[in-house]
Amino acid sequence: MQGRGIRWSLAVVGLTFAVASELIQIAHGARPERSMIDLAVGLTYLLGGLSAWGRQPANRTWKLMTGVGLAWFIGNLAASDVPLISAAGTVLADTDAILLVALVLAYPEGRVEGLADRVIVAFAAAGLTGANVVFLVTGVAAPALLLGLIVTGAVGIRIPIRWYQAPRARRRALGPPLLAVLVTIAAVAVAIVARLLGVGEDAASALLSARDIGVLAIPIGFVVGSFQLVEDELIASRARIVAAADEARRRLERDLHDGAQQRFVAVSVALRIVRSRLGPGIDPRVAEGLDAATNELRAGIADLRELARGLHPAVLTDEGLAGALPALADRSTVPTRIVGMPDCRLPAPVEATAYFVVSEALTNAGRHSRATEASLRARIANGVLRVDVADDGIGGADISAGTGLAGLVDRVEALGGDLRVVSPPGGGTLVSATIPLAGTGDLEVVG
Amino acid sequence: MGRELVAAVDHPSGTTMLIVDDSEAFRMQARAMLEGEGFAIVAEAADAAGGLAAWLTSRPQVALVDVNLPDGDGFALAAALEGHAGAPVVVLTSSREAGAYRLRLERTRAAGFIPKDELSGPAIRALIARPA
Repeated sequence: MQGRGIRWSLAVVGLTFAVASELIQIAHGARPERSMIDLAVGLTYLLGGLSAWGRQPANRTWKLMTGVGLAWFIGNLAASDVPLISAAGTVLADTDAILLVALVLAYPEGRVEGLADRVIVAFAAAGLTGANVVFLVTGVAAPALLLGLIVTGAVGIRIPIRWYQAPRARRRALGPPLLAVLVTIAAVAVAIVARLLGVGEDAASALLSARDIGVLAIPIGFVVGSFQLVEDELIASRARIVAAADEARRRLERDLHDGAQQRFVAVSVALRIVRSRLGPGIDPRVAEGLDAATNELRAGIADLRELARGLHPAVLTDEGLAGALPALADRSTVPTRIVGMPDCRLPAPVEATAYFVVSEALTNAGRHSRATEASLRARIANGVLRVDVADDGIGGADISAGTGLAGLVDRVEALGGDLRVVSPPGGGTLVSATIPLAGTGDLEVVG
Repeated sequence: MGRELVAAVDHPSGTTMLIVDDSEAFRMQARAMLEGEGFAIVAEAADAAGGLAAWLTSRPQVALVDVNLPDGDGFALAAALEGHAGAPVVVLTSSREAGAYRLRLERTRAAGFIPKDELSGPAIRALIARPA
């Protein structure tokens, strides 16, 4: 609520300030179309920044963007008739550029990290403001323009380095805004060089407009990059949720084994000891009762094992797909041939996902397909695990028709993979899952 | 080769056996059951290291080894025992089913695996009699 109040106030104050500053410019002979472009660019930063700030209050990137939007109009004050306002406008004219440098170097975390980037921001702040003081006092613009060129060049060099140093997963999100920044830097550099060389008034005005429109590319790049960032984080968080759920199931399986299962087994052994100690000459009713209890217990142990296996089979934890998939094939009611099997261990979420896909596919084949034979193939190519389960049944299976496979689509996609079912009527069913081994970046590759 | 020997040379009170399991309750149960079914439990151990030491001391004919041991697994102990002259017949056991150890059971040189709830003298004898 409080943040919202601040943002609304900034929007109102910023808008008023922006319009007022442009009116001062126009009153002193600026071309209205130049002022309109100037207004549009500044307001894009101001309102875009405020809007993004509301969505991601923790990310300082958007506060910096809002700051650029507010500072954008300070330079217009230099045209004012009031000497103090004019002087302030002149000295602080490049505050927007300083904040823009900070914004570009702080993206996407919203913090300027590292010595090189901090030096650039500090140099830009001190140098550009100092040069504007020089301009105010002496009327010589060259130092400010030269410094502008140096800062522009420094940022232009840092951008590709930052992109290169970013983790691979980050590069996708960094690309669009950094490209926009490079385009802008080129436009700004051309505008500065043109002014240093002293082109005519018309050309200078046109170049300024070109620069401003170039500056507009930056927030657009940030927005595109942020979408990418949010998407990447969403994918990574889905993968983490899958991994956490697997871990919880694995722990449950272990607890079942260490607890109830051990006790049931102990009771079963105890019953058999009692039975053998009683010898052959016991009352048949006692023998019958003992046998019934033993059988019931055996069924209970079998149920418990099936439950544990359904949670997260121990063989998957200990031996990976090479142990777990053949076990599935053995239990399948449709005779299943194994065509290929990777013998290395894969990241745990990948193994578990592949296992559950095969388990569901074989269960469906047994229940609905009337297949006489199935084949199972798992292989790794180009960092992707591909699992195929094919049967020779009646086909017509539909992934969206409430089968367990529908639930597995989310799971496979959470790992950046893909699950497909090809099942023409009368043509058998093929269930194919492709799962990248390290597609989500945040997952560690195990052994 | 050694397998034939086991059937021929018996302890006065049965086939000699070592039990390796970290659960004392299970060791007592197994002893109670198997001593009534023709086995002489001559040694017990709670872990793999103790199991190997116990076997070297008393050289029983059969080692009943739990797969999950605190200091390693039954497969490693089976392999360690296998290297010795007159190595015992190793029977692996667990409260999990055989399917939980699929690959390792395919590769082990132990005589076989019996889930704890199916453990019995006859089941062990059937494994011993089976050609390796």
